[in-house]
Amino acid sequence: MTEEQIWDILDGNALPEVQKEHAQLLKTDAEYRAHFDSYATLHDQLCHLDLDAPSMRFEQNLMERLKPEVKTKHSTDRLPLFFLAAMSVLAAIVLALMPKSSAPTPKTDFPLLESLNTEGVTAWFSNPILFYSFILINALLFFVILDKKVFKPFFEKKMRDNG
Amino acid sequence: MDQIAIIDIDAERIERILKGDATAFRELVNRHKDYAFTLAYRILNSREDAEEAAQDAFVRAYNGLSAFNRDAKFTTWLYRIVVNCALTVQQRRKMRTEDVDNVRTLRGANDTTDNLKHKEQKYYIQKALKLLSPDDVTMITLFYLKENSLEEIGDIVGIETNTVKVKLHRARKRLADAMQTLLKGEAKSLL
Repeated sequence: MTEEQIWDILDGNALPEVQKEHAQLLKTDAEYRAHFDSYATLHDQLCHLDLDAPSMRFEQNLMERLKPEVKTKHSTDRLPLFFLAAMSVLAAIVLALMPKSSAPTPKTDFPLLESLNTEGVTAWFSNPILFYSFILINALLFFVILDKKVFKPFFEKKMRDNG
Repeated sequence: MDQIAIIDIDAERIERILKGDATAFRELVNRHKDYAFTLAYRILNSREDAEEAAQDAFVRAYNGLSAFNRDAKFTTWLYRIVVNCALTVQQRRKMRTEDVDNVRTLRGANDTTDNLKHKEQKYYIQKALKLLSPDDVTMITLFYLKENSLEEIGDIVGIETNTVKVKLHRARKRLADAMQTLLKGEAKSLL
């Protein structure tokens, strides 16, 4: 009986004639029986080998490694850009809608600067209602970003860690 | 749980991951991390290197998930990545031999005879596995730990089924020899 045939018997893949020969040898050949038993024991032990477990931090470390890739899929990452764009548009609208002052604009090398109504802007900011509204909107936007970028991820992580 | 149910669970999770659900990936990792780690650990003989290899494999799997053929078995694909990552880590680093604890340290106060016998058997098998080549260990681990078929092992390591059969027989023969050598050495040291 070859080694390969013995492993086939243990795996349950042996041909009937091999199994017959094996049964015969088990009865008559003590040396073969001892040899087969040692392989059968090893086979059984291998079948019952346990899985090893990685460290407790395995999953967490992996998710941290993947974080930048997962993060890019969220639109909240672009929130500061949206905020800057929105503020630029707002500023442009305010400057465009500002009533033109009757006073002559000083001559400069920049025609675009001359077209801006700087006095009107100053007057607009000196109006307390408009000024505080502007500050309030900015503060609200700041808190929204702070919540999405700092508090929400922090509490989500804490909840995940707690199970 | 049967194979089809397992494949369905994996397929459902892959679907969710591709839709951007990060928790589905966490669930997938949770299901397969122990096996991925064990496979890498058997090849590398170092927990630290095995963790690195298993993590590399999951990162690669995550990045390549959109290209994964969903008609195929996810685990076959994942284990192929794990084997490749383990071999890459092995090439990158010099093999560090871990201190093998003396078998006596395995004995706890509450061990029954059967428990102790099982622990000692496990200890000697793991010690013997460390004496084999990564190729042999891969064959034995893939065959026994999750009872992969010879065809699946062939798919994982990229060789023909008949070659897998021959390699597996040789690996088991070498393991049996290593076990005998170890047990003889242990018997001599007790005299």
